[in-house]
Amino acid sequence: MSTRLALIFVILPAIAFGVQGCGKSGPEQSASSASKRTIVFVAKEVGIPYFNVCERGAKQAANKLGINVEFTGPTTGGDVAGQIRIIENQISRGVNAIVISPNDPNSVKPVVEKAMSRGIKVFTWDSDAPATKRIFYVCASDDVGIGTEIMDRLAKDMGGKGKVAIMSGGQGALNLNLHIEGVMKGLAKYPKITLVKPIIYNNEKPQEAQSGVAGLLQANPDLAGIACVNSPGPPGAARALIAAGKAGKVKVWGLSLPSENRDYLKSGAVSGLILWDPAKLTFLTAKLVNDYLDGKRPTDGMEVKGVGKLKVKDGIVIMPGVVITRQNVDQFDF
Amino acid sequence: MISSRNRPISRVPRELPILVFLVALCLGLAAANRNFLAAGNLRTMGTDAAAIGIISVGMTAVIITGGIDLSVAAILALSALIGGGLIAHGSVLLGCAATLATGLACGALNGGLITIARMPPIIATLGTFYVLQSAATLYSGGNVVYLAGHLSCLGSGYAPLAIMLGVYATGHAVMRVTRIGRYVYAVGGNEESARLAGISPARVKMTVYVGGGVLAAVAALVTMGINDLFQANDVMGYELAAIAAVVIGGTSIMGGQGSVLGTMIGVGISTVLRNGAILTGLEARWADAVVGAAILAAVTMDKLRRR
Amino acid sequence: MKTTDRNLAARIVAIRELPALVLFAGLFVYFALHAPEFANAADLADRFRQYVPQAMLAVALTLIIGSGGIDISVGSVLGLCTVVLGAVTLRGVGPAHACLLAVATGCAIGAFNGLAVAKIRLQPVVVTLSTWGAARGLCYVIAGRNTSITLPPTLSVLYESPAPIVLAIAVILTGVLILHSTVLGRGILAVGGSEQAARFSGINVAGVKLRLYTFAGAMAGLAAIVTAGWMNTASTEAGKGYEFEAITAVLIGGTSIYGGEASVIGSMFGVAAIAILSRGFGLMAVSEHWQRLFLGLILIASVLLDRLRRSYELRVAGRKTPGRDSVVEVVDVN
Repeated sequence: MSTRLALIFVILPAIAFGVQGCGKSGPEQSASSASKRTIVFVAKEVGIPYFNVCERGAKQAANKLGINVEFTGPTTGGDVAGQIRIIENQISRGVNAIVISPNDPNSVKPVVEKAMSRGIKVFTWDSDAPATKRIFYVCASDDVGIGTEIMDRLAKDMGGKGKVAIMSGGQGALNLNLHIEGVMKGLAKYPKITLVKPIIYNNEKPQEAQSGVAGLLQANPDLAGIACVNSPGPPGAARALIAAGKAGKVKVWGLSLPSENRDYLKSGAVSGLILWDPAKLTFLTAKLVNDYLDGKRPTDGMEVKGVGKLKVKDGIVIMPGVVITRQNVDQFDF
Repeated sequence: MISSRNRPISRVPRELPILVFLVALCLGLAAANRNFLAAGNLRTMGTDAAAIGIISVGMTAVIITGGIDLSVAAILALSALIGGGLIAHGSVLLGCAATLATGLACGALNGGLITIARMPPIIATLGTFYVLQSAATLYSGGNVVYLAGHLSCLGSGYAPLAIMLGVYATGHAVMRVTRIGRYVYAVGGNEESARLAGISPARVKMTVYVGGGVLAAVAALVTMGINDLFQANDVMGYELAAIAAVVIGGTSIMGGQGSVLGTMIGVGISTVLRNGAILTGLEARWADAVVGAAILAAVTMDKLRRR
Repeated sequence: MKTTDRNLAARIVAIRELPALVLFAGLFVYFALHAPEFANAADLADRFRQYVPQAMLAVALTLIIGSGGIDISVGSVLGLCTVVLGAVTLRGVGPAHACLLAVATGCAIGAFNGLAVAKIRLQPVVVTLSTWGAARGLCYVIAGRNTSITLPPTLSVLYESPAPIVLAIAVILTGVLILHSTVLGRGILAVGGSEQAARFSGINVAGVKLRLYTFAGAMAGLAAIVTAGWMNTASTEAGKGYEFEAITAVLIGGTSIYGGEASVIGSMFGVAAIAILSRGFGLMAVSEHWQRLFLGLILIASVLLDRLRRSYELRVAGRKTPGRDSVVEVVDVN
């Protein structure tokens, strides 16, 4: 026992002191003393389709602007703690700017303040953290408003009456919950449309999306419409409808990538999508952040080549989104 | 001769209490919503249960030998992505072969770490889970593989349910009737005695982990057939669902006893609960709590019967 | 080799914590040399502070696994305790009472697990798997729409103070003392070695188990308070993944999964290794996917190292089979 303790209490402090001596500088230069400006995007999750497309935009920005643009994030969904730790790493590296799409806008407040206090500029994109001191937020829609728009278009396709269901991703996903809030707001305008229970949470999994809708169809054979607020929703709903022979009869509108819905849009299983180009959004954000670091702020009504006209108000920059239907789905490569 | 059965003295089959629980659950749900027993709903439940059901068979054998496999979902993902790329481009048979081969190789990796390197199964398979899941994402770049209907034959109609039942029937037969099945129980019951009886525990263990890997690959093909796409994160958590099904089914985590039939009932209970929650309009936030409670109830009932 | 050298070698190799210590030290030195800004003392301290929750969970898990059981519900229980903390704070309860309620919740769930394992004699994996799912579900039930609640600054101020470190040290010392110096500790290892034998020697097996699982629940409650202070938020997503980090740390640390041998210090080295792993690789801008892959390789490597250690230990002792005590008496076999 004593040898054990002795060894532990000798080795550890020795390493600690020895290494402290080598101290702050490693053989590589830290990011802040590097000649190239570095912007780091911290996504909600990496390795999933939506953020993979975002990453493309980040790479395009790096090439076009001649700066370092990195893209990272936790490998599991909804990892609030992991995302904070990743942001902390960027702070230690001393990067020039951090752009976050937070899993939890409240939890990142302490770490955003820490970054700003060290002179690192912090922005948000795709999902906001309004309670923090982030400089500005770049998006393609208002989180609640887009939910309402989905409900409006769905209601139109449903003829203003019938039973509607809602499908979301994770119960703790804040932006999805805001989309649902928007859908509910829209729903209130249509007294002849009723909401069935329960709200399906597909946890970002195609199988759960499919099974969930299949179950809903069994419980509500007269279901007329489905409003989806996350990407796996519409294709999963489409597959369930096709299997039940109800494709086209039940209308589906949602937030999803056209690449996941091409065939379903063409066959009518999915009625339409509302989204934006994630690569463009990310590219735009990188460009605006880069401009900011050069002293240029985004202004309302400014035109950006390849993206369009921007609305800028109260620290929020909004780029145009798209409505995707069978007519225009082939125009989009995301 | 080593007995192929581990029956208690009583003549009541050990799976009876959970079977009663399942039947009661089904009757209750049928009363609550008459669509529960509709053909369409049975097909839906069968499709929902298929992938987890198939890997649960392999997990049963693994747990009976006293081990565990936390990497099955990662094996499923990796084999799906490796074969899926080929299938998407039209080489269906080659792609299926690649998927099965990957499952076999990953299973052998687990088996090797456990039998040759003598690692405890929970650690070995936790390690391979991290490695294989990361490999799946890195290999695919996190991108979705679209299968363009090439595997729909496996995924439409009653096919998933039929395949799952076929795997169960085969698994049940192997465990009850064949020599390897008896050896699995023997090794799980008492490894030393099995060795003295001339059985090679290493070979038996390697077989069950390879079998688990191959079944994960079969589940991968069925999943791709059902969803017509695959992405690395699509099956996260399936390993826990499989373990849950196996232990609900009465298989002891200590090894040596259990049955494929029990696992099937366990899968049935989980599937019926999930489907029932939607049919009765039970909100998702209550559903998780209810499912957890129901699992405890089922296992407690089973335990009390055996006191 | 002279007898005295062999004695020393034997005693060093007999240290159960050796692989974990070597692993941690090796990673630390590697990162200090290759990862820019790694050895920054303030940031490192921050990183270790963030892992105080996992450390406390790992102490409890060391004891439980040492007794031959397991508890995979600790992460979800942590989440539930955080949600309770947030929910009562919203209703005007002060921080002190809120913390008490959080810990009480943890103890209650822990006791529930303990009763199911000890009295009804259900398998720990089944019980804690159910609690894992049910507790997370209860998080969403209790939180309702408030999946992320900003907390008053008291807890965050506490978090930044030395309090979490003091708490962690207290918990670690408690764990070490229980394991090595108390009757309970001997009982834990006896139960882990052979439950039958322990029962026949008059140990109150049910009592031991009940206490261990309740202790784990209490640790989850305390860890919830630390987490809430770190994020300044009561989030339904709190604690996700913590159980796997804690179990991985315990396994790296040399505690045997089969029960009967345990080391709290080893588990702490395991936690420390995991803590610096994401920091070191993150500072080197290694992709998160590769980081997870390395974690798997490190886990496998640490167990193989332990195997080597054990076979060397046997060889030096001149024995063919392992004995109970690890510091061996060396007899010159020549």
